[in-house]
Amino acid sequence: MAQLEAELGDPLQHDEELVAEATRWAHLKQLIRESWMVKIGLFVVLVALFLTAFGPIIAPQPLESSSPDVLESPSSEHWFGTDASGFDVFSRVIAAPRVDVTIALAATFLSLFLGSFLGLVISFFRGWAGNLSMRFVDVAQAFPLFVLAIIFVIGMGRSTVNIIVVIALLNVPIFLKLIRTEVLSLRERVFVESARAGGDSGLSIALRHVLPNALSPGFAQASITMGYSIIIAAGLSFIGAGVQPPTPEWGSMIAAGANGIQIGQWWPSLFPGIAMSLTVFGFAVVGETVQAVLMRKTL
Amino acid sequence: MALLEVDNLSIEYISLDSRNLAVNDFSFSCDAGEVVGIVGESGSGKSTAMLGILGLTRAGAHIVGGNVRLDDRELLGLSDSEWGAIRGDEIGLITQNPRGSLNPVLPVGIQIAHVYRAHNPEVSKDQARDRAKELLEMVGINDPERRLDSFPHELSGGMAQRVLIAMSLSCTPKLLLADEPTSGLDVTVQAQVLDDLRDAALAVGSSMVLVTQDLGIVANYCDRIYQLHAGESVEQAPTSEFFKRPAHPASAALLMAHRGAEAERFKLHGFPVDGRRLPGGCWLHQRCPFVDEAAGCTTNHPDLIQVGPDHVSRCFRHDEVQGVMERLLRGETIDADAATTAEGGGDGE
Amino acid sequence: MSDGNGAADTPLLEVKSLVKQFSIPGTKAVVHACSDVTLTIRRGETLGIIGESGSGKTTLGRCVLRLLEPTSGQVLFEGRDLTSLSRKEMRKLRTDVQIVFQEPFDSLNPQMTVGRQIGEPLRIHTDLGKAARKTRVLELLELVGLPPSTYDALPRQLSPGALQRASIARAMSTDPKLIVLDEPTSALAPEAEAEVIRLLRRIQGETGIAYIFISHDLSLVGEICDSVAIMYLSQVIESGTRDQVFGNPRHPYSRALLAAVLLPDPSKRRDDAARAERLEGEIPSPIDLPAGCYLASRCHFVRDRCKTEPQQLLSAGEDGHDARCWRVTENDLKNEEIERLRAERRAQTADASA
Repeated sequence: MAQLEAELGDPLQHDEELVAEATRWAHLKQLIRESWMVKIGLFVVLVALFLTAFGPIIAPQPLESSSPDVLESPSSEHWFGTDASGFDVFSRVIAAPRVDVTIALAATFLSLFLGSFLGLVISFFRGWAGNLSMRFVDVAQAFPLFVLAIIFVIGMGRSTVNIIVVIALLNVPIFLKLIRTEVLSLRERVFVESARAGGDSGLSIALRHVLPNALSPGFAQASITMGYSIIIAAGLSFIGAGVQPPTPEWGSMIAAGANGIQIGQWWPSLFPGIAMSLTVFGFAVVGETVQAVLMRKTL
Repeated sequence: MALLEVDNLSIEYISLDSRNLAVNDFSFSCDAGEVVGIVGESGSGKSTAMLGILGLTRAGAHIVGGNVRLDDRELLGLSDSEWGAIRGDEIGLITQNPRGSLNPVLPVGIQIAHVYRAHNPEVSKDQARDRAKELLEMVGINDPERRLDSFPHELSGGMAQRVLIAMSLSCTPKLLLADEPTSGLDVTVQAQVLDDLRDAALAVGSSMVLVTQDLGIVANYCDRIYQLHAGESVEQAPTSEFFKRPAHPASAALLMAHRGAEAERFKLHGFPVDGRRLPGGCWLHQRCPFVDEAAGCTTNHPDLIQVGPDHVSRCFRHDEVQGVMERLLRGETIDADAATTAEGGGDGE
Repeated sequence: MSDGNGAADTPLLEVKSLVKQFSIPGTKAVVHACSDVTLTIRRGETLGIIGESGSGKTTLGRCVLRLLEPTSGQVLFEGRDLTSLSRKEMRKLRTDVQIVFQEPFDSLNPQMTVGRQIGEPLRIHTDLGKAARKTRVLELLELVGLPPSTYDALPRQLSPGALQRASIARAMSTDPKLIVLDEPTSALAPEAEAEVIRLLRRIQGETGIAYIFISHDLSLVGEICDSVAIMYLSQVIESGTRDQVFGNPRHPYSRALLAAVLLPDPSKRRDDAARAERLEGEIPSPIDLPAGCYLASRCHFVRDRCKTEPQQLLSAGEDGHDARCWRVTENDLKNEEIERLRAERRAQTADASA
């Protein structure tokens, strides 16, 4: 056997492999190195995730018990000032990610999972059913996202779970279509035909062979969807249809402080606004970066 | 003086973290009326070298040295407008993938006429159309009048390739560069296209440089052969010499590839050399069945050595290689001991 | 090698009057991929199917495995008609008939390790547990000459030649009796091709397996096939043993094909005789098949009746050697015609260089 091996040569292309891996990482590292925006985006996302986990714990002031220090401008005691209920804005701003980011994360992964599965099932098998289903999806996508969200939440009740489900459902079409594109081309590939020739059944091939290869664009899109989900969650709360106060949440904080801006009380709305914008931006940039790296490598 | 003289052409790819010498000090020439073949495994730099003759490089590549002389006129370093006069007019190019090289929205007659008029602006549209028809006929297309108005997607692979050939010949170039002109074409179509190409080139008086991996094509259509490895020329010989008495292990491997038991002994093991990490000594030594430390294979980089009239090889052991190959190609069988190959050879890996 | 239950005489595979058509959506037109194909393969034999693009050889290969459903006709494997089997029964039969495709990279799932993929047919068709499967896969890797480390490698880490060997290992995993090889080496460099061919021969020697070898490379088919069928535009136009077809091609298309081969030997350059055999014109469309002989528009030996009379496979002299041309029996005439064509060609070349 050793002789046969020597005869036939080492078929593993060690160099090739290292180069291929290195290229993807190198590309990612290069993007991080070269672009300020990517560095900032990455940093922001990491901070947001950190705060999601630890924000409420490290918050210096109590989050939900009011105090008499109402509407004090930023000072050394209250870095971001206090709001109309006497809450410390800084504490609430860094505690809010736990709500917003968690909702966004849950919604994004739920829609990724659902959208991928549906996209796979609709697209893998041939026949008129797939096309018909896609027309339903098209109709669903045609409705204005946010308006639908409002209607659903008000109709189904304003619990956190409902909000997550609604946002997830609204994002399903995007993932569905992304996965569908991949599945439509993957199902024509030779290795799928090979699996059929080997006796594998349709569903098994779809799950085992096609799905793992179809998910790349989905992952790339996920981070971008994170950003949108945060906006929707905050938006719902802003108009009073989302998370209820006194739970710290950027949207409701902005809403609560909105009236005060005209009379010079800028800090209750501005700081949560900046925090939210930065976070959405961060996720969007990371998403685009992942897209740039992953898409380049699509075989 | 040869029609085309390429001296020490070097082309480099510069990327993120590496420099890759794709063409290394490659020299060759083509006389008027000759058909020269350039062979080598993929990645050996043959296409890159060919484009380099036209002063063209792919993204990331740069010509870093050498001369290219056509009719004793230096080509590298010409301005864009000077190049414009040469490309298409004095040097024609035929590439693989014919339908990819044609504009899908224009009829082929117009495309040929365009090329012709670009270099002959005084010619009228009708005259150009006549010329296009003449060319289509010359390259063996039936019903040329009708085909002038065909779009590329309406043509089969063979026909599209003939259209490309017609385009390249439209200005009666002195030199034709053909890069795998029949890859992807059916066997019968390939023979037809090559026959027509050679006839048309002869009729027009063009010399040809033919880049290919197919030994059949080279044996049937080329007068002289250059073998490339890792961007440098490793053997050069007239065709019959090349097939009877090759003097380089890379040529031996190519010629023996289809020979069953023999192929095992003479093949190059491992993988093509990485242009970014060239080994010391002879660049082929890690894969070579003839490698021999005593001959200097692992430590010195061989120059091109004269091994016969008009026949050079870049191998320290060219005598042994030629000796073994000549006998094998004549039909003799040689046992393992007599052939001083890897079994005895040395520590190649 | 063959199971001794009296089946030694039954051909392993018989294709009878296979027809495959593809309908073009939105029209009534039909693409004729295979028309009335009849072939026989015996145990341990290698049948070569030669054809250029549009010949239908690839479609034929897939119909034999029912990866494509034949429009009509039969595919008899050890006497059983595959086309009439239920999906479940067909599934069981897939252990006996396997396929290796042309594209090295595309034949394997880029995200799954090579070892796991080679073991897939075992997972589907046997009760073997994971450990048992791994053992078997390692055996298969040894059979095809790949090191054990290949088990955990991903397809992109392997060279094209190694990938094809892995595909062969996968095809061999269920001990099939027949493997359809669809241009298995067309995408490989000459050295890798030679290795894969050697491997296939060795496996056949050790196991007595039969091959259907589909290719456009005549020299390759000539090297390893026992019998040969040449296809043109959905029909088999000549069939017989390798020596019969290559040594004495009777159909004008076969002659043209063989004459078009460029040998890597300058002393055997394509001469006038070979050029005399070349086909003119272009291949007709498979949608709009001509009446009469499909080669009529391009054939040098054409007569009026060729254009109207559909041609049948006729015996070309020896037993088992058939050609689809009514002129196949007219030996003398053919030779005369060839001489005439050669003379014409010589005169043409003389004119051109004058």
